[in-house]
Amino acid sequence: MPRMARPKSRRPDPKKALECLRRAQERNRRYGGPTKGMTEEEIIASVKEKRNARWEAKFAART
Amino acid sequence: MLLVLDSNEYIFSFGSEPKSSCTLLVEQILQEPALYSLRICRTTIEDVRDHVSRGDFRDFIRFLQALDVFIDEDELVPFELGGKYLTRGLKPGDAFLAGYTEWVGADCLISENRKDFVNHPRLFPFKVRTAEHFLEEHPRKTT
Repeated sequence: MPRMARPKSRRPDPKKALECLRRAQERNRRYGGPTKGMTEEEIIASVKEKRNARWEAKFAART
Repeated sequence: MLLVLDSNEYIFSFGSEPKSSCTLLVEQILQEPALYSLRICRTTIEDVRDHVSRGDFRDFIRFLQALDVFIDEDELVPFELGGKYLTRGLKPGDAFLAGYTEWVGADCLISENRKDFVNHPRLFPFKVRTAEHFLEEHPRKTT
């Protein structure tokens, strides 16, 4: 496990975290979002494409 | 159990095209905070930001804060770890995520990306599962 400086830990609050998830879900039911209408495969492909584009540049700069 | 969730798990939970297994996975993690802990890297944060609305992204960040999940900066991850997975045939972004998962010593990477992760378990020193498979292996404890 890598060691690094981390901020002082707080006690996790799963109830508050669940509220955040529910709020996002309700917002999506009402208003949708950028992936509305996309298939699962299209969303996975979109994530891959953008992430790989960012990292191609980073790896290229290091090799 | 230390888990790294690929960005698609968060996008299918917080985004506008929900997938029930991903939502159930997040709910299970919330229901058993003593059993599961999460690590997340900056790259995953950026992936989620690019695929959810601003309001959903704000709630996603608050979700992480509520669980006291610290964001690891990408630069902390040794370059060689990502490079190792590049030589094994992964694309750069996927190679980094695999390297990150190894670096934090996670027990499992959970992703809906079967093509690059889930279908190639022998490439990795950690488990790779879809949310559905993880939930099958770790059924919710009834109290």
